[in-house]
This record gives sequence, structure tokens and C-alpha cells, in this order.
Amino acid sequence: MAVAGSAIGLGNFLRFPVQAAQHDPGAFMIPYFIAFFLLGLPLMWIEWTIGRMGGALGHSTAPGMFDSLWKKNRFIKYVGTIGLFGPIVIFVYYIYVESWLLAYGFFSLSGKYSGCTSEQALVDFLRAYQGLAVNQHFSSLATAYVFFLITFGLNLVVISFGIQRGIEKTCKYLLPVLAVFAVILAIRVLFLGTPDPAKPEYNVLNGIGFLWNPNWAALKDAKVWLAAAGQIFFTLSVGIGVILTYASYLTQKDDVALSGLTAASANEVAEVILGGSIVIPAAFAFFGPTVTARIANGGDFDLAFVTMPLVLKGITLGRFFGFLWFILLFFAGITSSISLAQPLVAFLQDEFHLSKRRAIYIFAAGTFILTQPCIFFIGQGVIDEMNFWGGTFALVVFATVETILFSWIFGIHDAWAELHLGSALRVPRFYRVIIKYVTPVFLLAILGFWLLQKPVTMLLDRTDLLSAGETPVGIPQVLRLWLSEDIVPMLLAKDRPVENLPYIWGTRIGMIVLFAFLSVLVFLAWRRKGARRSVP
Amino acid sequence: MTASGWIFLILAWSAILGLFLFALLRTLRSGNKNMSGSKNQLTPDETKQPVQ
Repeated sequence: MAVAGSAIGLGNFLRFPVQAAQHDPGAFMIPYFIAFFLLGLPLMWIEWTIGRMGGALGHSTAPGMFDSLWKKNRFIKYVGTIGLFGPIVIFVYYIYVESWLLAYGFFSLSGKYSGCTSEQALVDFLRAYQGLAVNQHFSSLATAYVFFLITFGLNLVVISFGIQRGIEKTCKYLLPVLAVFAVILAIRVLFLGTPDPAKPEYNVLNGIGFLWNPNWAALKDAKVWLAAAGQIFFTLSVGIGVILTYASYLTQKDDVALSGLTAASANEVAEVILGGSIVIPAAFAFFGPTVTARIANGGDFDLAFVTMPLVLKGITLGRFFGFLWFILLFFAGITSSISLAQPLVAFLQDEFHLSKRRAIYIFAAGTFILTQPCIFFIGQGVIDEMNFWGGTFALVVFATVETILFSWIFGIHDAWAELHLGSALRVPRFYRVIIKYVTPVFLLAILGFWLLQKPVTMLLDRTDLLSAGETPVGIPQVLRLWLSEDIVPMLLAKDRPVENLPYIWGTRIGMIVLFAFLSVLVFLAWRRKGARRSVP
Repeated sequence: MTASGWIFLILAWSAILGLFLFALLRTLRSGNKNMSGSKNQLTPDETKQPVQ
């Protein structure tokens, strides 16, 4: 029950629908499932096993674990820095989104958005709350900031003062309630029928089809594969470094194979069956495909905040149930943000021998400062930029490295034996092949195709490059075009509004500085270790 | 909703539910230590909640 409860959270109900809607749901679901079986499950087992091994060697974060796995390489610990960087970047925007849930819970109870009866009205409400517009609902960011402060304070209290046992017990009961409530909501959505009789094609059945009708043509887009893999990583917490830290406290008697499978499958039930049956079908029934995609593109977490108030409006005691829904999700979010804090706090405790309280204060001070741009410059794409580089790209890179370390450097034979220590479950033997060959190749292919999609497409379809009277072009021309029309414009963010570029670059530079700072901490930690070892 | 959509949905739901029920039954049957006993080995901070 505890694992099933822990599987339900923001990724299932807020991020998953948006990722699906942004990338053509019919195309998104195919790579999503492939990624689950070929990346998600193997990575769960890899991380639980590496974490447990690392813990036995006295490490609870990725730099130390990577260093132990590849002793001959002095630099691999710096790659492990991604396991500290990813959780911080995600925490920074995650906690702000978490505060929206608290706010919407109270808005639901007070009826603040009850006058909003259309998509546009709810979008306007959300935009004003986020400080992107001024209207009758909000005239400034003050309300959002107050809810952020409350959320941040609550997180600190939970992490600092040892009441997490209480929260854990609370969540053990609250999250199953959320699951039951999600089932009720899914049934409610099924009976939405056709909300607007003037648009009979906007109905729930077509909404389900919007998600499940396969769109094979859109699979050529590497961004869909990267987004699907990113969602799998995010929702299963793999590629972040969080599971490594948790698993470091386990012993060889603990069954990491079965635990990984249970946690992953419970999460998929929550995400695909419950999450996939609520927001997307409801959004389609109310708004249709174009507007649903537009809302999703408006912000990485916006869709549920625009859709759910309309769904909840139509049920008896809608205000109360709305409050319950958002508050339960808020608690699910708190359990997640606590876990995101763990790697850096554990790193500071382990490597610098700081007290837990001091480590938490440093984490809190740093993340509080870093969250400010997310709050004040959300309209300039700061959160989306962090969500892509920190919440998707870094995860894929980290997962690639740890898979190679686990199956090639440590060796699949020893890795397989380590995975099954204390295990009641025998992982099917073909997963040996998957972990050693398929998972790393899949990860490298995602990264490669994401970088090289345009030149590959150009080479496959050279007629694109033919101008009247010219001969077919070769690889050099294709590469030149790729540089000038694809990779450089993407890296230079030329697809963004010009006025947002300073904020985009500010965010990127900020992330680079953060990564460099964490790398320096890793360097200092190892220098201290070296100094201690050299003392006779 | 097309026929291929229904097939995809049924296959996906069956796979996920089958996997979950299998894992749950194995966990319950083996009295899996990780689900209960191992929590005692975690530090007081740990809630074992994956990021969602």
C-alpha cells in the first residue's frame, strides 16, 4: 500500500498529460511504453543496485558511487555531479508548481475561480495568478508568492524538524485516498460525454482516442522520443540520483529487484490508467485537440490547472472535492520535494561532515534564491528551460553514463549477481541483454538523433535540398545546413521570442554556474579525502 | 477512437495491470522485506517516495 501510494504524484497528473499533449499523444504513447520497458525498468534495477552497493561502500550520492564503480577514472565523479545537479534544478521549479496546488485547493474551497466557466477564463485566471496578466482575479504576484512561501516553509519544516515520520504516515493514508479519488474522477470524466452539444466531435471517447490512436508518422520526430524518455525518467525518479540515495540505506538482504518492479508498475498504473483517463480526455472534451495542445504548450504544468476546475465544477460538492483533489496532490508533491532534497543534503553530510541541520540550511538558502527567477520570470520561459535541460536532458545523460558504468565498467556478470542478492524475484534473463546492449544504445540513440535529426532527415530526403537546376548535395552541405539551420539556432534559442532571450540565457548560464559550483564541491570533497588518507 | 486505438489501449492497460498485480502478489507472498522491514534501516529522513 505504501509503495502504491508513493507512486502517485505530480508527474502522473500534471506533467504526463502536458508532455503527451505537447507531442501529439498518439505518437507520444508508443515511445513512452518502449521507454518504460527498455529504459525505465532496467534503470530502476540499475539505480537500486548501484545505490545499495554505494551505501555499503559509504557513499550515498552519485559522485562517490561512480568513483567506486570506476576507480581508474579520476573524472567520473564529476559526471556524477549530475546526480546532485538534476535534483536541485527540478526542486527549484517543482516547489513553485507545488505551491500552485496549495493555492488552487484554497481557491476551490473559497470559490475564487467558480466564476470561470470557460477555457479562456481559466487560462486568464492562471495567467493572472502567475503574474503574467492583470485582471479582476489578481493584480500582482503577491498571492502566488505568499503560497510559495508557505509551501517552501512547510517543506523546510518537514525536512528539518523530524516530523517527516508523521508526514510519511499521513501520506501512507492520504495517497491511497488520492488514488481512490482519481478513480472516481476518471469515472466522472467518462460520463462527461459531449460538454458542448454544438461541437459533437469534442467528446470523451474522442479524447481517449486522442491519447491512444497511434500516430506512426509522428514517430520520426526525435523530440517525441526524448520527451517520452524524459517523462519515464521523471515519473520513475530514475536518472535523477534520488533512488541512488534512498537505496544506499538498504542492505544485501533487501530485495531491490522486486522493489524496483513494484514501484515502477504501481507508478504506471497511476500515470497511464488513472492520469491518462482524467486530464487529457477531459481537456479534449471541453476544448478540443487544438486548444488542448495550445494550453499544454503554454506551460509545462498548466493543463491540469485549466482543465480540472471545469471537471470538478460539474459534480456534487464540487468545491470540496476540488479542495481535496488539489490538497492531496499537494501532499504528494511534498513527499517528492523531500526526496529531491536528499542527494545534496546527504552529500554535504557525507563528504563535508556537516550536521543535518546545517546541510539543510545550505540547501534551503541556495534553492530559495534559485527559485526566484522561476517565480518572477515564468512568462519568459525560465521554468520550461529548466524543465528541459535539468528535468529531461540531464536525466538522459546521467542515465546513459550510469548504465554504461553498471553493465560495462562494473561488468554485467557482477552487476547481475549484485541485483539478485537477497532477491525473491528472478529478473528474466533477456533483461541482461537489454541492460548491457539495448538500454545504452537506446539512450545514445535518443541523444544522437536529437542532435542529428535534421541532417539524417536531409540525407534520407535529399530532394529537400535540391534547388532548381542543381545537383544532389552531399554530406558536407548537409552538415553545413544542419549547423546553420538546426543545431546552432536551437542552441542559440532562435525559436524563442527575442525579448525572452536574456532570460533564457540567464537561466542557462545559471545552470552552468550551478553545475560548476557542485563540481568544485566534489573536487574539494575528494581533496579532503586525499588529505585525510595522507595523514599517517 | 479507432480500432487500433482500442487495441493499443487494451494491450497497454493489460501489460501495466498484469505487471503491477504480479509484483504486488509476489511482494505480499514473499512478505518482502523491502516493503516493511527495510524502512527501519533508512535514516529518519527517508520517506522512500519516488519523485512523481
